[in-house]
Amino acid sequence: MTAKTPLIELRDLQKHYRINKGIFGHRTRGTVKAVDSISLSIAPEETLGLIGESGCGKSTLSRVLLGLTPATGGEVLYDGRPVNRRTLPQFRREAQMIFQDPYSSLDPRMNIEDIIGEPLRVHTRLDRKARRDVILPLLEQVGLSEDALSKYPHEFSGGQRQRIGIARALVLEPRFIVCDEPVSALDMSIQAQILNLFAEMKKTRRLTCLFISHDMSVVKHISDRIAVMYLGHIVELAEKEELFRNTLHPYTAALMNAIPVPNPALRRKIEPLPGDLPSPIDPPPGCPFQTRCAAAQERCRREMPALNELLPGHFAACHFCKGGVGA
Amino acid sequence: MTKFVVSRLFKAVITVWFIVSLVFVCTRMSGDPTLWILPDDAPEAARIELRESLGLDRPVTAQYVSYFADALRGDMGCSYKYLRPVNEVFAESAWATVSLGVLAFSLAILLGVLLGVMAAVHRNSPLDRITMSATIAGYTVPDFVFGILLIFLFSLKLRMLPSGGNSTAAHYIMPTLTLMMGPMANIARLTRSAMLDVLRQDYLECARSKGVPEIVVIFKHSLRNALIPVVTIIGLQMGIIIGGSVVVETVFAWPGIGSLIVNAAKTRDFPMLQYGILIIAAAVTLTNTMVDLSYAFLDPRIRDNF
Amino acid sequence: MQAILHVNNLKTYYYAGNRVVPAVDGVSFTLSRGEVLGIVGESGCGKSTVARSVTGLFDRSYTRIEGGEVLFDGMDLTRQSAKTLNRIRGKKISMIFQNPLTSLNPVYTVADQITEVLLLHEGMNRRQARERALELLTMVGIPEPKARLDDFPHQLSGGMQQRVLIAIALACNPQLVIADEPTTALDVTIQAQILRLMDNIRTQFDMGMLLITHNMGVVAEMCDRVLVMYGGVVVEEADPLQLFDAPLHPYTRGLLAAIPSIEAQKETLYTIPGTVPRFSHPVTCCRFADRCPHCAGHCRTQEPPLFRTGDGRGVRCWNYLSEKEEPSQ
Repeated sequence: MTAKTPLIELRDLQKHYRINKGIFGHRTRGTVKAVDSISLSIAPEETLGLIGESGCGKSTLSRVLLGLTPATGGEVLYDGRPVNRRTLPQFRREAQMIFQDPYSSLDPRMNIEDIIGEPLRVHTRLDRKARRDVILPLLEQVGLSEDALSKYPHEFSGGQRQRIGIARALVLEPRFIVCDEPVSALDMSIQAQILNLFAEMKKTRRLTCLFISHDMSVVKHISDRIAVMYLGHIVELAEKEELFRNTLHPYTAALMNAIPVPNPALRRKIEPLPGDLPSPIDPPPGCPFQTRCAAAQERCRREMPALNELLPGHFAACHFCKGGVGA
Repeated sequence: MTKFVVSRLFKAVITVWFIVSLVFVCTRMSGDPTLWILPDDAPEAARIELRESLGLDRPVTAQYVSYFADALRGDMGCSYKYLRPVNEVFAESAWATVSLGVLAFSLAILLGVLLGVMAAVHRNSPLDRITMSATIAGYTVPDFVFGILLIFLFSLKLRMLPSGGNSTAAHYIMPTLTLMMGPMANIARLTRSAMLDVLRQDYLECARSKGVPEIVVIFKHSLRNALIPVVTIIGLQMGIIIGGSVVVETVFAWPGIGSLIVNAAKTRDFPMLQYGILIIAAAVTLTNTMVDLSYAFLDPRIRDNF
Repeated sequence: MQAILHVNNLKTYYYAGNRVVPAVDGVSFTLSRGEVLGIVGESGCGKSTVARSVTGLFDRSYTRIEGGEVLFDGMDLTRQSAKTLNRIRGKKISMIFQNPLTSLNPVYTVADQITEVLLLHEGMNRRQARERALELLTMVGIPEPKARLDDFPHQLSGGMQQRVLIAIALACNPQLVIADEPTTALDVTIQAQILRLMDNIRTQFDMGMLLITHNMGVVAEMCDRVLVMYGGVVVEEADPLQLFDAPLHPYTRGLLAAIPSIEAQKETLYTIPGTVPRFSHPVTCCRFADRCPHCAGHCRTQEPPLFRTGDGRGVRCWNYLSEKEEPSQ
């Protein structure tokens, strides 16, 4: 890989929540380690896919990354410089988010012009006409017409609302976008439209992206590299074809196994991964996957595996996979 | 769980103490009770002597401390007017107020919930619309207006019901109606909206898919969930009923503690006033504490927080 | 295989103000014991309405079955009283819903919700019902079932909640289970477990299953036969191998092309142009006409019937007919 400065770099990023008890809430009952020391970097114009199930911390990670909630440890670097109180406003301008639920991410009391124009009102001194000049071409690019401006969110379908969300995220011409499950709530055919739109915007605007989803096929379609998250940790990270060709971590393998493939000839007869997603409250020492891993051994229960580069560009956090466990 | 109960009770005690302290301080700042006890033309010396004997010349903090010290021993002071221990005076009138209040409160809850459930289940039907319009009248018309109207209609015009005092069962009818009207209206409206929310829930569809008859779906599956927000305002309604007692007792010449308190305020009978407020504060706080505790009983999701 | 459910030309309409929405506008199918019939489609196609119309589980203030029949156990369910339907629901036909957390009543325990069905239909007493509930929890693979009996729904994970719903559905050994998107709200690894569980149960108890889903992967994985619905009607009927290998209806083809695939790398996904229109009764054209790349004149003036092919398939498309007719011309 080139020695280009990554656009986004996370160093030991941590978000722990304390659960309080006692009459005045002063004693701690436990700690939820939503994001537990994550280090990651995203190169300019790269799309990193982040895949994981409920409780893995992917949504928390996205919010801590963007500064929507403060981290309890570690740091975020943007373009090589740490994001702190001084650099946050600039970062906020250049890093935007597209949300999952098209029905709740748009303020029902604001019309579309206000919704898309709000970032402009906050960050620039453009007057209304100037704002319109920015908004109109953008609206067209996302596939909506000018008469949408005076309408309200409830007059639009889920797919259209997601287009509005995309326009809102792009209006400040950001360099980095976090997409938190943007197509999960949409029908298949609408999903395809939005994914295509997104891919096009990404290319023309040279965006760097973090694309979060629980749907492996969507993540594979849109990303360059994929990171797999489990219980607050990254357990595997690789370029996408490599991840599928050469799955190293047992959880990634189980995940791939579990996806129902739209091809009846390939009906999987392998046993699904047993057990439940563990609770992120006070996780046991050692590997987070130990409770469900068929190959778990003594060392896994004691020692947390580090995310090591086991193959060139391919990282996995497991004591016992030495390359090529396979899907 | 016990820790939660204990902490809630503890908070309740603090609340009552705070209220009584507030009243204590305010009364001392409100003026001179001797103006009410002695005739207008009494000499200043007599007033000074009286104040001394009542302990009102000492600094407020000293009075405060001795009030609570006495209270902990059960001595709540003597009324300036009746010259007897306040708890005795109140005890005599307690039954009148309590019986009226409990009756009105129970009926308000029962009828309010029932009406709310029926209105929700038959949404937009004539029954629903009439009931909800009536409830608007219920909580906008002040209770004294309603009470006086009732007296006008049933005592003066129709001569069916007695208008004052509490000597027979028939005497209870109008005051109860007057007192329960506002709370019943509030409870009915809230029950209706809580039920409407619950009636949309998926678990009712699941219950129906099990073959559960509709009446069971409404009263077993829905109501229990709808009661959770309703129970909150039931606690608040208690405060309204108690406040309402004062007015209702005046309108219907009901010999209860409401009028005692009003008179105590007018005549600056500090011990009476303090005791009266203490009782009211205790009643309302206790009711609200029970409401809080009942949440845990009604909604198992809340139990886990302790 | 013994057929247990016959749905003939079912029509369920919604009445909104003065608009009549033909949510289900003439759907027919047969379901046999031990068979899994999938109904797949996007939102608004009517698949959930079909599921609920079977046992009449809809809001009668704005929904009515306008036509057709649902034949089960020797009677037409569309003409039965609420009392009769209540005896069948939960006992002979049970349902599994999409969101397990909201489908369980939050203020009652797991045991209460399972035993309710047993007390209602099987005439058991409380002790027997509780024992049977324990058996059921074990059968659906819940660890430490005895402890779970007195838990409340919010204390269980999503997967466990769904297993409880399945246990409730199985409690009285129904002939038919209708599952409406049973795994959509679950995580991928849990989804795999639940699908496996449902498959095992279906074989073990020889139950018929009507599986509603929008996920083509689930269809491929679970179903013996598939109905593709669009705009309230069935536009294609086939078994999964036929459907995925050679879809006949343009909508099916569009749908399959729109799904990102793990194996193949598609640069851009095919998108079906336009959006689902709102239909009003009566419909006099092919419902897919506005969005179909092969739309011809005929398609806009008359709705095509469901043509049957020789090998058990069905397709609602005029173009199929003309393709078929060409050889003979």
